[in-house]
Amino acid sequence: MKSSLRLLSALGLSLCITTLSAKELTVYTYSSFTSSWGPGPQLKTLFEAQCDCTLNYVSSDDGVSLLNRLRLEGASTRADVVLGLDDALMEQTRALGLVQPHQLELSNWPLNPDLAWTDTDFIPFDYGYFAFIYDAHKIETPVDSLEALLNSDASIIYQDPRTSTPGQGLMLWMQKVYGDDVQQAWQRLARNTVTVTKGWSEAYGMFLQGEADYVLSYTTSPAYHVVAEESDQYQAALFTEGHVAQIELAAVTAPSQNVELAQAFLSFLLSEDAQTVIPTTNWMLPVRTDIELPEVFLQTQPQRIGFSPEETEAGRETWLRTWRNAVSR
Amino acid sequence: MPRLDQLPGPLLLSGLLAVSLVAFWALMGWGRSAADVSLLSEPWFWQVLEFSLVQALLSSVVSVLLAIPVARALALDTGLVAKAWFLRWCLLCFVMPSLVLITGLVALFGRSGYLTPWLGEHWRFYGLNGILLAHVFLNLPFAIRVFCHRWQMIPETAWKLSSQLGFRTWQTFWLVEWPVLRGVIPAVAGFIFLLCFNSFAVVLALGGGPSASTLEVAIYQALKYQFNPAEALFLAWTQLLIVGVLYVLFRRLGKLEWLSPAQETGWRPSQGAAITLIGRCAYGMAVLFLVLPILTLLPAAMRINLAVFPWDELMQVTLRSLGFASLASLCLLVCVVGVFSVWRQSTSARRRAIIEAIALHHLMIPGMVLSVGIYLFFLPYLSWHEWGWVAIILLNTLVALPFAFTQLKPAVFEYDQQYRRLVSDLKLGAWRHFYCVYVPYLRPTLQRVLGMSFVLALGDMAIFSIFGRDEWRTLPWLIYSLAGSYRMADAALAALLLMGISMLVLRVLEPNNASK
Repeated sequence: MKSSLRLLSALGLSLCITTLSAKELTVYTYSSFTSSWGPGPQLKTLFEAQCDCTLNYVSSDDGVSLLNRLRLEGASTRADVVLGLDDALMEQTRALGLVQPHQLELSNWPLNPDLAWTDTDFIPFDYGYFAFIYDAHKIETPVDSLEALLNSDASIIYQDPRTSTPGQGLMLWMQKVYGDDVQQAWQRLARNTVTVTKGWSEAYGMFLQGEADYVLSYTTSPAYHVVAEESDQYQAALFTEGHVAQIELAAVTAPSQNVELAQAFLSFLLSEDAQTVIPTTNWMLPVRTDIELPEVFLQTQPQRIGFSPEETEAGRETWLRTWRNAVSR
Repeated sequence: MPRLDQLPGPLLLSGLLAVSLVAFWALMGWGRSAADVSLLSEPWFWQVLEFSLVQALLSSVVSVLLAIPVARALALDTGLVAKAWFLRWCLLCFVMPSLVLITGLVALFGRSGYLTPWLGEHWRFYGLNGILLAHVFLNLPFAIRVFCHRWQMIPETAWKLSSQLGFRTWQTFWLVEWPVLRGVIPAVAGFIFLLCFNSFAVVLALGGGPSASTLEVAIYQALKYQFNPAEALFLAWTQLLIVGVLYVLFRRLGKLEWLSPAQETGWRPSQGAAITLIGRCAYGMAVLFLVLPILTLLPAAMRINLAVFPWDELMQVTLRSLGFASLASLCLLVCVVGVFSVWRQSTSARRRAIIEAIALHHLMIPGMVLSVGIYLFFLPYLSWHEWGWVAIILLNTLVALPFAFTQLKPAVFEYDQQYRRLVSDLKLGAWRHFYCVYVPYLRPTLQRVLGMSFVLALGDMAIFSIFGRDEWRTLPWLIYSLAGSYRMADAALAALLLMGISMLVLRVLEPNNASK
């Protein structure tokens, strides 16, 4: 309908036409979210059924690329909602002035109290714990700590912390566990590294092709293989020192002209419908407490370690430099 | 009153210069982010620099060493089969979109490649190995053509004399062949070194992590992964200084002739059986090495799943790529003809030299550096998100200009020598002269320039990496992302398409075809 309207105006019919077309909401997210097996398509259908609008996804490789893209586009961005940044990127995004307050009353939803979420700009839509996934058909006794992984001669694929949120998560993890000795630890990890990929999909794809013994992903990734493929071949290695958590976030972009619709989308993400879809498509844990989950999701409850978003923001530049200096040797 | 075909000239020259000046201005920091000098104290920076230099050095040395026996066999062994075809293939290899080759190499040597099982347990394709394979593939053909041309230039009399004097093979080589070769080896090696030093797509796709990165890729990552202009500026300066110095050095080493077709002339001494055999083996290996990676794409592409292949996307992306490349190569034609109109007009050698310098100076500025400069300069005023496509087209035009200029210069010079007086006697109108005499005369060369620049623009990754966006993805980027998400069969099919288009365009625009 919109294009026909354009045609009319192009013909010079200077009739006063107000917007009759359905509204459009543009959501920037990462590529695995919008893939056919990701939550994107189902959420689109569900949301469009209730909003009288068209939902468009535009995808980047991974979470950090998403932020970089938003930053490059600045005020000219078409995005109304940015979906898929995480708590580690939150402070940076806020400081760059890329998002606006969501104006939602978070107490209206039964959010998981462990998350203790009170932020006024970002809403959480799922969370998970980073973990190394292995093939149980190949490895009988998996490593049980980062130290054991570094000491082993197992091959590893992980993601670039400059572009990918899991990669960034590993950076935090290493930083937390090794502190001042992290440089040597990275160098040891580099010896076992097959490749560092730009995004999560690439790394996980390579791992499934048998290119490495371990891949950096989430504790919930095996759930996919159990639920979708009825296979317990892939398992998450549980580490005694604990796991870094990732809370995935959505927010309304600062330049959005569609604020109401964008806010409606954020509330939709917290709805029971959306929260039921997300675990078995994005393979992460729901942020609501009242969602029924397949058994496999409840098997692992890792201990959470890490940094606050503020600490992450303060340390990121230095930590990134440490990483690249260590692994480029 | 200026003639019509001369009008856009001066404007154009100032435009060409302005682009570089603007880029330089941005590189100088110009009020905003200055270059981040603290990188000097980072081991990472030195590692990147070292790797950039080492891989370029190895690539050029290996290419040159391998090219010598092959070129010699091509020039002297009259029994060699499919010579003309091979030399044409070499030409194609040199301009081949690198993503085509990369896909082929991955299908051969990658982790589940056809040849990988025979390469031993410790074979690692990603990193230096892959980069070297790709760079040698892209540059060996160029070296072969130059050397072959040199060998063929040795006059018949020199061969006859050496034979009458009873020289042994090594004596002939040392006294007759080597002096001819010696002149071009440093220039060829230097040129290949520069190309590899500026290589982007190969390193991006085959580097496999931060330990095998070059300056060019680091610039891209600084800007696009981290949005750190200060770092990008510093890296761009480093790249620019090194390339500038090397270019000036290598320029003194001599001129290269390589596009002119091979000629079989006169008597050649017969070679000993052993030498002939070595030459033929070298030739056979070269053929295998230069053909196999491309041939591999066929069986690799056969494995695609037709049902899930993104046909619509491929179609769209291909059309878009064709659009970008056509516009860039047409812009180039207009540009180069414009530059020559001013060049022809000026009679003083000095002014001509200045014009030449303006047309050629982009050779010294790597496309990535130019892109970063332009990108940062306009960033506050203009949304690259919307206007990036203009930069993609114009910068692809600019980087091909030196090539087009050097290709056309002899033809234009010859034209003026032969026809200037005659044409002025005919008193044709400016337009008429331009369309009926000048352009038809230059047509074969113009066509070749058009074809080559089209293929170069079609394969561009570096400029697009800075100005492009996901929705404008070109064919090389589609292949890159397909290969990245482990869809090798899809990538192979798209690579075959890219290859097919390149071959078709070069074939249609080949000067021999044009004159028919």
